[in-house]
Amino acid sequence: MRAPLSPGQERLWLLQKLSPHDASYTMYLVHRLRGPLDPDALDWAFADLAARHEGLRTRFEEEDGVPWAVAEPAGAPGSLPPVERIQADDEEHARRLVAERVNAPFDLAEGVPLRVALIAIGPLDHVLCVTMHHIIGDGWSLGILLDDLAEYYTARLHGRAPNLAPLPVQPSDYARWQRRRAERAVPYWQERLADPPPPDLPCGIGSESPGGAGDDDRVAYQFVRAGRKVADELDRLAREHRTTLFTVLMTAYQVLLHRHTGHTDVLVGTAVAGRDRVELESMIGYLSQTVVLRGDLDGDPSFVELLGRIRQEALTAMSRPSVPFERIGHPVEALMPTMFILHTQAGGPTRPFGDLSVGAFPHGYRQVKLGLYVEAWLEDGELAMSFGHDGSSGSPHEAEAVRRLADRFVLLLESVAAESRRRISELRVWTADDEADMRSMAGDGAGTLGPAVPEMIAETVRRTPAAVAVACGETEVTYAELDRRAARLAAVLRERGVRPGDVVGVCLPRSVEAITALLAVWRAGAAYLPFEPDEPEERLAFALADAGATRVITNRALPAGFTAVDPLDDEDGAASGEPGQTRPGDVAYVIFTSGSTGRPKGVAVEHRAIAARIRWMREEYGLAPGDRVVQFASLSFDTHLEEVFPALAAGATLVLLPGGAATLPDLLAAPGGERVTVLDLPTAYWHHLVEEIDQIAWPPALRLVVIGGEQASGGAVARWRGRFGDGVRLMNTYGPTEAAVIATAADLGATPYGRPPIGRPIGATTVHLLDAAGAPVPKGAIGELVIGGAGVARGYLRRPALTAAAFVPDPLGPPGSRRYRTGDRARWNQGGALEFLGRIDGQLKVRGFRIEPGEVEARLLDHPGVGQAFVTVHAEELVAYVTGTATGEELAAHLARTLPRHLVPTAWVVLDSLPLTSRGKVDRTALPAPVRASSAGHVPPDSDAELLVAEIWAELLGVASIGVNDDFFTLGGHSLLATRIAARLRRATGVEVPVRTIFERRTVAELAVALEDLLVAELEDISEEEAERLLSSAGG
Amino acid sequence: MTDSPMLVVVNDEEQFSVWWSDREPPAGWRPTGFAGTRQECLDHIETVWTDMRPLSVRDLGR
Repeated sequence: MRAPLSPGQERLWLLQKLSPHDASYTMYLVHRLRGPLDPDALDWAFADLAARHEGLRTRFEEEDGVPWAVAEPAGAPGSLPPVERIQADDEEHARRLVAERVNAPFDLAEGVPLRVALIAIGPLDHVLCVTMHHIIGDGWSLGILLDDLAEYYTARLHGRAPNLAPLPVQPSDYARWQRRRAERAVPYWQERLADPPPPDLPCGIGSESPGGAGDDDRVAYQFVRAGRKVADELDRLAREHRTTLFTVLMTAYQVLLHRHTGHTDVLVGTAVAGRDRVELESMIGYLSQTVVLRGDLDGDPSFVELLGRIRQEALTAMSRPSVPFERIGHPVEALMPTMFILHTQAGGPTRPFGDLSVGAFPHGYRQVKLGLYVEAWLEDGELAMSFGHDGSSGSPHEAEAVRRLADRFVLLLESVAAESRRRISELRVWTADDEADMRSMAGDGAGTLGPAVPEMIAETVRRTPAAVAVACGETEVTYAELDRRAARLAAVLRERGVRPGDVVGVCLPRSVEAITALLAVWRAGAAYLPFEPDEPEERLAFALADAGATRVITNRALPAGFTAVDPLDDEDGAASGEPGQTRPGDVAYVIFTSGSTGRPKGVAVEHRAIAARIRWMREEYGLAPGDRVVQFASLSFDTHLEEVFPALAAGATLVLLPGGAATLPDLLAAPGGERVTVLDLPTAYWHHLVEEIDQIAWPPALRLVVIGGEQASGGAVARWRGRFGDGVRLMNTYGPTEAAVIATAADLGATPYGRPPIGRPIGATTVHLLDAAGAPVPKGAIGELVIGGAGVARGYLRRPALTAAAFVPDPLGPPGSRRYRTGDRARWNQGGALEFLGRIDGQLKVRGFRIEPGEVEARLLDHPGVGQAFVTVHAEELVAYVTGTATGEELAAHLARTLPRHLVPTAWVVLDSLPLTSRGKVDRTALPAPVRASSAGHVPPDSDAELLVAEIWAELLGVASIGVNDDFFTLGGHSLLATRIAARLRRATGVEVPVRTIFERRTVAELAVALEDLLVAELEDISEEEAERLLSSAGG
Repeated sequence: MTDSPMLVVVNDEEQFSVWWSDREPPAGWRPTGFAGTRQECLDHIETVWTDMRPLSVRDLGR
């Protein structure tokens, strides 16, 4: 007889087919039978059992990809489960035999998925071990199996008829009925589970791939108990609110998750017996239903109020048949990251089992179906709980973390029992150990007093006047000379009316003059406001006006109302000015960052803040005379301070990149490049360099690489370690401009695991992770990263409300101190290091640049041809989705007038309308990926050099067909990719292709000619045919 | 947090911020007397915090 499967069975069948080695759907019944056991009666009892229950003689067949359940007729050959008899050496051996069986998977194509073993420990001491695939039986079925087996055994033993009523329904009947019911429930679940929240779990569980089959070592269980008093009180609370202990525990579990993730939309799975009709009660089969309960924890309700909400949700959801997750349109990890189950079934048989006493025996089951799987049951009036976890946090400390989580749940249940009317944010959940951890991890915000940065540099000038301070191409400038130039320019500034407390603009290309200008502004007692040399005029004027600056050290023409100061101006007698003393409370610099409402905002940082940072960096990076530090960052970003001033304060040499940051590989490959000791790189750029790690001329003197700005990739770190071992220190740093460049740092050393952390608070800095109620959270929980201590900026210039909202009272710092709310989400890992988890709001990072999409969207909406706009990031590119009549080209030109280059999208998608989710937000998953077409006049590449260039472009730019006239930048190329293209060309031809060439020769045809020229120059000695041959072999 | 009533608070440097009305402000901060939603408090600060320099710097004329 052949029957369709129930929806639940179909799902299990598919899962087992996808992961044939997964044993997590093996069900087991393990009992110790003491007393005289009649083996023949037991064999007969199993035969009777299989005759009674169709499920125990059902196998599964596949036909054209569709599974069918085939039940053998009762008593037919192959319908009887063979009882395997084993003699164990001792109890320990018996345990191993049991554990092997309960942790073994079933092959559903291989007959009835049922196995029975009878293990003898002694003549009057046996262990019965029945295992079956979940597809033929659920937890309830195991109780029936034991009861019916006991009855058949006893009946056979005494030669009497069994006392069992006939079964009205068999699994095949149930499956047909359930298929119809489930189909009708699909719309309910699709709506109820639409737009699932991010599947965050405590302690990072689920962020890596799970232990899975064959990796049982990573699966573990943590057991805890809540005492009888608490259990009784929770039960009383349930009755008082006309609900069950299960609902109280489920509510508490949702609070536990909420307190760890901050989410107010919480999904937890549970299992219901699915036997709400009397005719289903005595059947062996897979009837239990996995139901997802969606808790709404919004508005910080009291526990009892939330209990009412969850009670309603449970009543509505648990009365409906569940449907396979695949029908709901989201992966199971998104809909059910975790489960909570309260077991209510008794452990032993309710009927006598011959003359045998039935007791427990350790089963040694080690399978977890989900990242976090919590089971509870009552034992001697106490509430016992098991937290099963599968190793998917990727952390070697997961067991410790989940143990702590389980302790927190017990504490939370005690708190609920004692004070159920409290708001869920006020319930106790963090243990004394957690509190101690939080205090020790937060860091020490007390700043050591010391000189300001200009004084540190003055000290270097005194100590090593003849040492080279700045190298720029062929030019080298000593500390004495740099100091002289800065003094002269400072005098000019004073002469032009610059006064202490003023803000002075600096808009210069990468040059000694630019470095001189920064020092000169400080020497004049003012703060500098740096710009890109090609800053759009409108933005330049806005920022200057916003900062109240009227003077700019620059060579370019300025809009009306601003005065340009030539960086080389040298007024008579101007050099006489002595530097005034820098006051710690004075503003040192102003950096404009993207503003979410469309207006950029100027962050003002005081000397005391940057001095604390520079002191720490000089110390921690071990900078000293002889070091050569590359100045990579653009001056308009605050990372430049991390390169320029620790180097100058330490007497090291700052090496400039006059050709632009992207020419770093050229600098390293050129004579002198081998002496570079320190690099400070945006993480995104470093990732690209590591991709081509063997093509970069890494300096032999290199000893330290500092990265920061984005999440570092674990793979890149591993690759780096593979190449350099411990020979080059790799430091990951994190920090917003508002907390003076960086606030945390981590050595990415020996044995990293999972997500590379951003480390711990640096000197004179505190970090707390705060929940929505402003309370700190401990290890394993997610909170907003808040920075206190010496580095906290003064605020946003002329933005009182923005400043007051972001710079808030620090109750853990000195009286009256403030701390900065970053808007970043983070978590302390079990080792006490911070893991960065993205933004609370929509702020983006594109190739290390901080971008408020709101600012770009606001500018786009200014354009009359734009209806709606949405800006996001895709494959390291800023992408704009717009509706309306304007083309991408027009809009790019429109934005370039007001926004710096990194804020102008490089990919454009014009849509009829923006796709929205059912909650009215832009549906990111429905946005088409930007497609890049090669230019209209397509001329295919022809020469070997063209073919090679086109092939490398196609791969790195992700464009299918490239013509010889296509432009690198039009196709979405950027400086990071230019580095990789140069590296690939070098790898293919053995010829050093400067990165600069990629920028200058922007089409395939031009670059191919340049490549041929380089090759010819390199191989002047050999014939042209030989060169051609080299090229063609590289291209092929 | 956004819905709970807040206070405008100020420190000795006359820097403004907001704090929960049902919690004691941290040491060194005092309520100015203005209370409302978080947004009302921020709007109020936008109008009253006219010189954003810390008091100790203002005294030096910077």
